Amino acid sequence: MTNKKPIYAAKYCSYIVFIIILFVLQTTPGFLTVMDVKPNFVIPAAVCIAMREGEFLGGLYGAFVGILCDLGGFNLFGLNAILLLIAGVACGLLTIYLLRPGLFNFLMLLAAVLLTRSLLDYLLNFLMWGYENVWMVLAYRILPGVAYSLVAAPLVYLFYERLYRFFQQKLEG
Amino acid sequence: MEDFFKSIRFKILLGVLILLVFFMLRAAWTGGVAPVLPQVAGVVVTPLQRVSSSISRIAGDYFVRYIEAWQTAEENERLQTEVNELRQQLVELENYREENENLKGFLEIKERNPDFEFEPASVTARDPNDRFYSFTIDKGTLDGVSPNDTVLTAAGLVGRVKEVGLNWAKVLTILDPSVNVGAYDNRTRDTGIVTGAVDLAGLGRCKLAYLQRESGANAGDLVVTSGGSIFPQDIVIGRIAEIAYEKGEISLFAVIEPAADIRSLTSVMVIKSFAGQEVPADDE
Repeated sequence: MTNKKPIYAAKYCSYIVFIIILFVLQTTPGFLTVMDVKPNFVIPAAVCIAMREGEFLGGLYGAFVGILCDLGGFNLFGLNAILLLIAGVACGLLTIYLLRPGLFNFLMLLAAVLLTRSLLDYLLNFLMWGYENVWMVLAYRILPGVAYSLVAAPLVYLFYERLYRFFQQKLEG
Repeated sequence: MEDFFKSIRFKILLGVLILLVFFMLRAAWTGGVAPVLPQVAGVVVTPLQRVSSSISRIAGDYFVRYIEAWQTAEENERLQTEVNELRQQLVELENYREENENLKGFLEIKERNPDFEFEPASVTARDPNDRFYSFTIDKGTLDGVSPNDTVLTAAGLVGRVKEVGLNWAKVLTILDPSVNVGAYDNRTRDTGIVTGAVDLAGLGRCKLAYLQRESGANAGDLVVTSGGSIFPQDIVIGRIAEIAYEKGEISLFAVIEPAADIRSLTSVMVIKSFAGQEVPADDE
């Protein structure tokens, strides 16, 4: 058991590197921007990790991803971190008790997380302030952003699954 | 599931949650000053973002040139290598020319306003969740940048600094409805407030609100800042594209085409200080 500790350490560190690389890619100006809409890569990564690693690590990595989202974003610091910590725990628990880890379930959970976060963002940062034509933000920016993130998410899933299997083989071997 | 809620892991997660709530409350309390956690994360992530944005910029320039070079290659394959080399040089020259023009513009502004203290900065990140083209730059408190500093290009006003870290700063643009800039029509001297609007931001435009019904402002008029504690006076904002009535027809507003191309900026200047600048007690 003791000799597996370095593998676990390498695995958890590689998750952090994986998330940081995705964050740098998603915030790079112009990268994969279609009609001014950019995909979010780090939230799919947090959902992947929560589905495979369970509620505890899911929550911790969710909080880490949330901190990065808060770092890149322009809203109140901490909101994303709290939301994604809860989302990570929820995804972990749902996968343990109700769902199997797979692409379809991943996309369903991700859609739920992205929509919840986006609608809260819309409510707290736009609707509440009473801007004129505020529905345009929802229709032209937020929902296309969610859709684009969902379309791009299988790529993140694929990369994460490779990483996960690589370390699982090491742990089982 | 009950086991989880009774476990030590749940208590750890609860601890993290409480810590995050504390950070959020602290961020809300301190306004423009970033808490410790994003400061640390920014120190790690900003250099990476700087590299990735540079690569993205070079790759973008290269592919645009490559498409043109490919057409030439069809005509004359023998000259392909030479053409690519020349085009690479052209990209570099164009970059130099653009930089030169930018610096010339800033020099003009500096000559007109010797009290301005500039800090050049590169756009390193644009958040996928932002709706008003706000961005992050690679300069922070270490370079003397502070919250509410004015950000502009040689063409005109871009926005103001919202939040600052050690080596990064977040900039809100004039397309954002939360940014308000005192401004006036350079021809008629009619005053108003330049602010963002949800329906105009997508078009890269903002509006000059609260113009009097009797205003003589017209399409094509130049709009400049009226000055104050945050924005210096007479910085070009843009030109009026059209005039319309506000809801209820109490006042007019003008749709403004900003002089700076806010949606595709790669480099900006931060005015760190100017005569008459005041540091407000709280962020807006």
